[in-house]
Amino acid sequence: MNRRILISVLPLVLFYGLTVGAGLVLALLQSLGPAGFAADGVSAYGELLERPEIGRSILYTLYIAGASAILSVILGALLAWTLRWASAPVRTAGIVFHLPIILPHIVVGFVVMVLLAPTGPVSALVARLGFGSAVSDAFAWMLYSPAGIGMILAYVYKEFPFVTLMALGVLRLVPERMVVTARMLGAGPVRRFFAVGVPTMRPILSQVFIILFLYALGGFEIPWLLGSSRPQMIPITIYSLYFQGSLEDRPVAMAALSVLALFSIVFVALYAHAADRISHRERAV
Amino acid sequence: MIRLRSLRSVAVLLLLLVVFVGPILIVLLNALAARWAYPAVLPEEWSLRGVRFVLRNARDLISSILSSFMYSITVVVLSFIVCIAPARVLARDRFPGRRILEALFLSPVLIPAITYGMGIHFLFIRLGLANRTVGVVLVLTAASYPYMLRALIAGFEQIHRDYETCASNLGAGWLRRTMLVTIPMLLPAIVAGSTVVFLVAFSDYFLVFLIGGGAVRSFTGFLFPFLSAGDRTIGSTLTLLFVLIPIMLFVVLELTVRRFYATDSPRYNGSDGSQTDSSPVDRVGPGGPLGTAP
Repeated sequence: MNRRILISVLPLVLFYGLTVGAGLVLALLQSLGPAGFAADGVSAYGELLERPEIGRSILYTLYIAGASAILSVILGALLAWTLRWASAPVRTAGIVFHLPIILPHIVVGFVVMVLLAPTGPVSALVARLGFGSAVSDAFAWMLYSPAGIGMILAYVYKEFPFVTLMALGVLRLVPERMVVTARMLGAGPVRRFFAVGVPTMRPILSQVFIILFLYALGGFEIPWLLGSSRPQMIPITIYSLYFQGSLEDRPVAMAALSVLALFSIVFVALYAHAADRISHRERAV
Repeated sequence: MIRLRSLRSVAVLLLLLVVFVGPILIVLLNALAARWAYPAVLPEEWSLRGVRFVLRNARDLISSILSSFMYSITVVVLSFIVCIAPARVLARDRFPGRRILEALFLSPVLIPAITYGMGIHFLFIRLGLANRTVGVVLVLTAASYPYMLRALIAGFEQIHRDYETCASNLGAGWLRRTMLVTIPMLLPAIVAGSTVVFLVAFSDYFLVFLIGGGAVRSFTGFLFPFLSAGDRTIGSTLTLLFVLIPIMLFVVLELTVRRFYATDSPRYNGSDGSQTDSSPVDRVGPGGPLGTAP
């Protein structure tokens, strides 16, 4: 590294170190002992295992984040594929799909809250259409319940257009003749999607999946609005342990936070490694 | 065949409308509803209570919007300042550790903000930056600069070094070269990065709430109590207001950028000339915010 390069990257290295880097290190240090940094070993991490509600919270967060990321990727890919081959007027109208991308999370959360409320318009419409009380009763547990449907729906609504945006960028490079050829060879719409669309979109879809999954894992705003009180999403658990718990709870909260940070870093590294290997193998074939 | 196709078009169109416009319409109805009790599919009585509330609190509202606007713009400028030199080097130079450095710099997008945010909060209390706009700007920049970095790297990759060499050979100094050659050619990337950074900063609730601690006013902070308190009329009215701001920004930028491209390279149009897609968000990078090449 010569001096010019060093000088160019130095400001950002410093900025990163003083914000993100320092933040991560301080979380780690606080996890090792009470706020005074008197390190008394790894007891906070042992405590993590001894508190069943933290374990449940972690599993619950993995479920919500996983479900919303998978659903977003599937829906986003389908919409991108549909828009790519749609007629011109549909494509122009399709621009509306950008809307949730520019909406803040708390607004999307509120919209879902209004829509899915037990006495909300969707529930009323369903009751009107005569689906019977079983279906409209279902609305009683959509929000704030352990099933977390409200949270999943909010994440999916906010994120699947982002998947579409990214996937369309790749699909634009697919020439129309490829699909025409597939059709001439007798492939139906489903086959065309899986034989042409999915392979083209796969790299970007898996990248976006990581982004969405990790975002939902650590997202605060949507659980704060729509989450159940038990089990809680892990960011809420950490936040309330730290700010509302006793002083002894703080190292435990920071231990959970450090585990979350470590998990994201390892997840990204493993993913990057796997993606590298897959692309090498494909090149070899 | 043609009938089938147009039937499908209509179905897709309807679906798009229901999914993307429907919820906004329902929020609009909520904003204007005085009574919308359960089995009714449409509001039974209308009122302008929400609008009146906005007018009555216009002063508070405007000052919190302005505060959000100001710190978001500052975040954009600061992101640009910290990213421009590294972006150039990362795009053009090959040196050992480049990929690792790039991955490290882009990492704040992938690592959840809460993981470093709470540590930063602890640090900022010690440094006296908590509950102050400076602290909010710093933490929001930390969370959003990767979008700027990614856009600028993509921008530099598309500008050949020779343009600058050429200007230099013609006798332009560093300042003239930067102002007349580099910056204009980089403009689309700058606009793209700035848009995303602005949106991330403007719509953030958690980091502003954590670091600003209520002392730094923000639109999201103003909005949140109404959203969670369950007053649907006022929550909906404020939501509509919030929806309008990014849309306006988006439309203005879209128009400016499109004009820029209309006189410039045609390669940004879709491969089949469909859907002129120079929307700022699109160009954050075909590789995606994640630095790893697929």
